Amino acid sequence: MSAFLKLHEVSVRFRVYGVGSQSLKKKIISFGTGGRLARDAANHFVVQALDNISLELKDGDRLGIIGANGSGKSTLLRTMVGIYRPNEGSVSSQGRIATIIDHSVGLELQATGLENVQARAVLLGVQKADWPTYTERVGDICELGDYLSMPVHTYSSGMMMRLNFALSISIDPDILVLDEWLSVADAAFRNKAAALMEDLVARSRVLIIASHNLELLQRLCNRGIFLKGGALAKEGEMHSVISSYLLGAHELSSVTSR
Amino acid sequence: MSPTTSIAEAFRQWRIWWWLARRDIRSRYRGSVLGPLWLVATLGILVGGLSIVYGAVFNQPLKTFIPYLTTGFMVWWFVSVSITECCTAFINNSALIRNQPLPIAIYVLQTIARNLIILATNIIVFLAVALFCGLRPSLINLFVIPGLVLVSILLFSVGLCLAIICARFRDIPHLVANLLQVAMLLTPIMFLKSMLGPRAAFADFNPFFHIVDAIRGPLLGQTPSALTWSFLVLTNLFAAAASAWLMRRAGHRVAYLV
Repeated sequence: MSAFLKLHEVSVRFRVYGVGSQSLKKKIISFGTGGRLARDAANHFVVQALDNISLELKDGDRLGIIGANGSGKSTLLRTMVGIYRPNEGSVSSQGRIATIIDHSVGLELQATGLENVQARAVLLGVQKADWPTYTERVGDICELGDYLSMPVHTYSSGMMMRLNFALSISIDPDILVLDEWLSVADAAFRNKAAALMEDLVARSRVLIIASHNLELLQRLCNRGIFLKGGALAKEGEMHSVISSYLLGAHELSSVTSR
Repeated sequence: MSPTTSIAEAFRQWRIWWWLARRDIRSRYRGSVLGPLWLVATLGILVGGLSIVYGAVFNQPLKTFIPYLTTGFMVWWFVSVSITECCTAFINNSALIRNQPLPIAIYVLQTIARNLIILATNIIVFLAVALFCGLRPSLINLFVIPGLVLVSILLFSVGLCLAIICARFRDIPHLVANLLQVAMLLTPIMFLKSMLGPRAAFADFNPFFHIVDAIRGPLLGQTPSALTWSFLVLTNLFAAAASAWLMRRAGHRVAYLV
């Protein structure tokens, strides 16, 4: 069975409630994020988060997603894995999907490290027979040793990050969907983490990663898309997408400096 | 229908919600010496105090009044806490909902399962009371099984509707909590239905009376009335249809709303 993930003319809009006052509306519009804002018939705010996106990923595809803040990267990831349902178009996939969008999710501070390992195993659907392997792998990667039997609130933030990273990277999915967050790590761990990511890429058959870390994307991905205002601004080889993204960023900065 | 809004899929993922429910109980009593026995102590102290005072107020023999109060409060807490906690089942799990493509109904099942565990713990108080008051076990006690099943499924359907509605309208949880407080005083829990005399219709038309009595009656060795059974079956059918309709219509919006 080969893994694939296919998006066909996907558009996502959502209503935002509780945005009442006119002045707030103006503030939000002038804030100028990448997504588009409008009002619908019932006078609710509507965010056009994704606009007519088609994509086809199959075994061996490693897709990097770049774009400004608010350009729809996380929305696209959430739509790909089925958290958001598209208003138009369709998403289909085959293979086990694992997703890490917000890396801080799932750590229970009062529980010990090992209890958190178990929690993540349950939530990510690791079979009970595989729990020992999973726990062992997490232990090897995070290198926290005996600290794993201490409550997580006694950890330093760096240790929590290590545990979280280890929890996420130790799963063996067919399709891995990641929002990039390695930039919070210190340099030493970032190198180890990047190596582990490459390892993971070799194991998982489809990788989708959204990131601002262009170096990492260049290293990991063979395909890329550039999102702008929820639409595909550029699609193709990772390096060519990166150069058009950099060109856009350069134009923007020359406009503001003028 | 996508997996995240499928109710059947949520039931299939029983490992996850059952585990989450047990984890909730564990983390609630983490670091406490008595642990979940606090539940038992709370019910025991309440029933002890109430039966002395209200037994005198209503001039009731303690041998029947104590078991009545114990079972009544046990079941009422199960019902009312399940309902109030279902209101915030999605709101409180927003981090998970926005980051893992799990069927959202598992958070409602988690709530019901958690309260079932608490109910099961409180059985200790009932057994002690039954022994103390000389209640004899009888075959009628077995009616507690269909009673519990019907009530639990009803709570799930109602809870799912409330969870969806409360994700959009944040005033509803407060309203529900308010109404439940009033309902407790109007439902025969601290007083007997027979004390209503000519106004017994207040109990017959009170849905909470039937819900409570379907579990309390069999525990006390009384068969619930045909009215109670038919009420439960009918409301179950209605609530199941309502929750399925609401899930189909609005379930996919929950991820945007929380």
